[in-house]
Amino acid sequence: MAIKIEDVLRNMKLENVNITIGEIVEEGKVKAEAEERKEVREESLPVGPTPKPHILDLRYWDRVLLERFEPIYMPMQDFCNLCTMGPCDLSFNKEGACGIDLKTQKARIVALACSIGASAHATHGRHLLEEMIKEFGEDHPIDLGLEVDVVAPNIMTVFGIKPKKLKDLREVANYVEQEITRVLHTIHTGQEESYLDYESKALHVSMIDHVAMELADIVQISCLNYPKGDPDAPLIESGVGALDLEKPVILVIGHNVVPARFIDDYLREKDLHDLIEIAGICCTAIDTTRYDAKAKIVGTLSYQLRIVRQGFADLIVVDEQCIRADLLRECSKLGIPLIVTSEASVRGCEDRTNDDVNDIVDDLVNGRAKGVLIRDMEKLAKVAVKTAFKSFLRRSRRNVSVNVEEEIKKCVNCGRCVENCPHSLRIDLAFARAKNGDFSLLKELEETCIACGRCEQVCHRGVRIVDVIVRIGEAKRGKVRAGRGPIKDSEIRNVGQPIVMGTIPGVIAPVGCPNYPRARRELSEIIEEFLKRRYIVVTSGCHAMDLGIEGGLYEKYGGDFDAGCLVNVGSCVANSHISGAVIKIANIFAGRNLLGNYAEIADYILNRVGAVGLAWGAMSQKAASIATGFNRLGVPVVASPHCLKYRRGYVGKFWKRDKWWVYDIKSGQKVYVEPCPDALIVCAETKEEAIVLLARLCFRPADTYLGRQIKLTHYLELGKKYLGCYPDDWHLFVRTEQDLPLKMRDELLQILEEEHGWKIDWDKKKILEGPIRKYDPGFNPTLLKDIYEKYRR
Amino acid sequence: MSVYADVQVSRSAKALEPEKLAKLVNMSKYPVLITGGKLLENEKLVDVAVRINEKGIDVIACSASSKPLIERGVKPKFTTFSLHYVTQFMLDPDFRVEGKSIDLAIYLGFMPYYLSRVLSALKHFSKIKTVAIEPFYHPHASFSFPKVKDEEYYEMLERFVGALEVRV
Ligand code: SF4
Ligand code: SF4
Ligand code: SF4
Repeated sequence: MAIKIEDVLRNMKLENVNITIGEIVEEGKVKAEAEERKEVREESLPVGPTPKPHILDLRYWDRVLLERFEPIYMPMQDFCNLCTMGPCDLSFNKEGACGIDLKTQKARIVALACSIGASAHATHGRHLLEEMIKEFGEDHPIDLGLEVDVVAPNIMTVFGIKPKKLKDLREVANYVEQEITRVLHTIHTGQEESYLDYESKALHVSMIDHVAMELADIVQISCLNYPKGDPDAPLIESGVGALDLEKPVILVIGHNVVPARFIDDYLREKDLHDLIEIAGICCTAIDTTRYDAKAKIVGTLSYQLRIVRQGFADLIVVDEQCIRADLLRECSKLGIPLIVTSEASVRGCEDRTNDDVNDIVDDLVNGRAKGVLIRDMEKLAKVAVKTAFKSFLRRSRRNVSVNVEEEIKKCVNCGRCVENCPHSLRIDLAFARAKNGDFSLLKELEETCIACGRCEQVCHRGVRIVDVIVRIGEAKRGKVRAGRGPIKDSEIRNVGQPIVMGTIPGVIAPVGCPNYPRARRELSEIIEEFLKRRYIVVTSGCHAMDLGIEGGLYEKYGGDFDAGCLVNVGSCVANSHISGAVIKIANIFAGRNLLGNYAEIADYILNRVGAVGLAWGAMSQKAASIATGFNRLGVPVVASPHCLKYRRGYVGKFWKRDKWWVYDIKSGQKVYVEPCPDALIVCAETKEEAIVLLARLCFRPADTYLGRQIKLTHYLELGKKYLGCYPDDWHLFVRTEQDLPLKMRDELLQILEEEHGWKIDWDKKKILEGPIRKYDPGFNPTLLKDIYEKYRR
Repeated sequence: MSVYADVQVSRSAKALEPEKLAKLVNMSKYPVLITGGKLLENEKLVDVAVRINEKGIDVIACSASSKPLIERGVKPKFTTFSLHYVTQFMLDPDFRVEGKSIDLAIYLGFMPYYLSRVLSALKHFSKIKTVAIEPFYHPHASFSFPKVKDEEYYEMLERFVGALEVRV
């Protein structure tokens, strides 16, 4: 050992430095011993009651949640046609031929959607894991940087181990796959008859989804040199306007970084890096820029058709998930070559993996092959780069001209497109005004249009509606902070206490897809309201992109996990760092054991951690499982109006007092509490409504009076600003006069007396009677009897 | 019947003339008007809501539509809860607004796809009658305006408001 070190030092020409070999050996020994002690400590950590839980093991926790946050169903169809005994008319909660009623059937569909979502991340994670093991070996360490010791909070809490090497994740992946299969089994005809049981399955598989996402992201961070919790991760040039169209453009779309990474490596290896634009759409964009900060983010998934129709992509490479199912058809109309790479998304393309590179390139460039499947990533990189250069030379041949005026003239304002537009956008009115030279409505509509193309499918006049809309829009440009991955343990140490006390009023987490109800910029408007009020904002996925491209927020707000800062954790799978951060608060700040201890941790979070998700454009099944996974962990989510189409909400009734109680470990009593949070997943229609709702959902029973005062200040101010009055239920959150914001105290006491019949001692300015409960600084709430008993002992 | 991007329905709403819809409202015990986000962008809808309220019909303001209504002197019974909450409350037979049980709800100013889900929930799981006075035909409602052109829509709203009796 000592000799080796001597050799190393000699090689490094460090012989004369003022340390002795002995010291280094000694230091190494000390470090190794410390590591060993830590390992022993970790290995001796108690494992909670539910390591590797199966479907029924956490059902008791789900029952607690569902009792308070009752599911509400909003059917999309009145019928079921899943098996050959149907179709069955289930309207008015009738039963189908198998006996299932409408509510249970809807819960079943929700469980199915969540299973699909979880399976997407699970398969993505497994693929990354095996690829990285192939390349780096199974003993490659899981390393998220020096300041992240709790590397896998979701895996620890659910599965019950702390993974150290890639190989440790194999058994986690096995478990994830098994649980998804088990939940899918329950969805077969002739299983459950209570909607609550399907809800429990949805919650279970969605918790598993967070494990799967975490697995995927810690693998790629550990192996691909992504930022490791760096608040100053680079700012990435983003938006269509950021592209250098003088260069060949390779557009990568999807969610799995592997193909883009090989292309990027090849460009660097061949010193071509500065000659080609590599740009991405959707989560592949985010992960590519975590790998290489010179790559660019074009935008969210709603940019696919927009970009293709503009004809400047010289090659499109897709991996998996959320890729338009007409992409090959659309590309081939303009002669844009397409390469597919994933088993999930082969699009009818021929497998050319074993063919000669030049043959494939020729066929793609000459249009003999509209798209090809390549499964060998090194070959893919060569083909992609060559094809991009050659295809670039033919860019001018792509006919992308649109005579906007002619198209608009064709419209007869029949409104068919409006009826089929998922946003019911008034294309008819916009065109009617544009005929008279007023393009303002058309511009407004462009801000909301997701370029889905449904309107064109139904227009009997053949109006090229999307092309017109694309021409109206401006090429946006902005900067997005590269996904930094985990929240550092030291950051949790700093903010854990203020979050639990409530003095940081909340953590707002905008995550998900871009199916926004109105203009894209509204998301930034919502979020900036909270940044200015010094909430912590932590984001991922398409929302993370739009906060930069539409809002310019990364340049204005710092990247720490701290009050008034904006953290981009990364792509969809990086959502696990958001759930991971709230779990880490229970662990690092409150000292709760994580291993196999899910219900206790979720109960802790629900009662103490004022974190709320915002899914302002959720579209996919993955979004369903991500949100439902947050819900099981005790984190509420505000969703956009489109999200009613997921069919189910978890919405509490503030006016049913008997629903809002906890055990207080300190007093040994069952105590009625404020209805907070009063929903787990609930939709809002407008940004104004969403803002007030987010502020409300940050209240927690365990808030200290100082924290409650701050939260109440924001809630009341936002109510005045956006609702035109104080919110209906603000008084329910008042436990003592100390909860009231100082500057409004007299006014609020007056309202409590006059409008709510509370008794006030005006001399002392004290509340004598009225609140749901008295404030007690030692209040220690739990919804779980076993936790209550554990800590009462 | 022309509808928007929805819909597989077993029972479709009756599309009625405004006067007939108003008559149904007049006959109900405790109707409420529930207002949505379009009121934030369309002054005409605010005006209609104010006038319906002046006929003695209580307002539940969703989607932050309380703001323009309060500015016009309306005192909504609720201002803070989104339509998703309000629907969850209405599905509970114990829900009361100042001691009264809603038997009919009029909807004005919502995004069509959003309201459609809500009307579907109430259709399947409650006895409350729903009336959509929106520019789109709403198949899941109990009763709905037919789909009409923009100009006709405001005219129909006028006729509806005109035919409402003042409640005491
Ligand atoms: S699964 Fe049940 S409800 Fe659905 S079609 Fe079959 S029998 Fe009918
Ligand atoms: S369907 Fe075509 S013709 Fe009809 S309003 Fe839309 S664009 Fe115009
Ligand atoms: S492309 Fe835009 S306008 Fe057309 S249906 Fe889709 S969202 Fe509506």
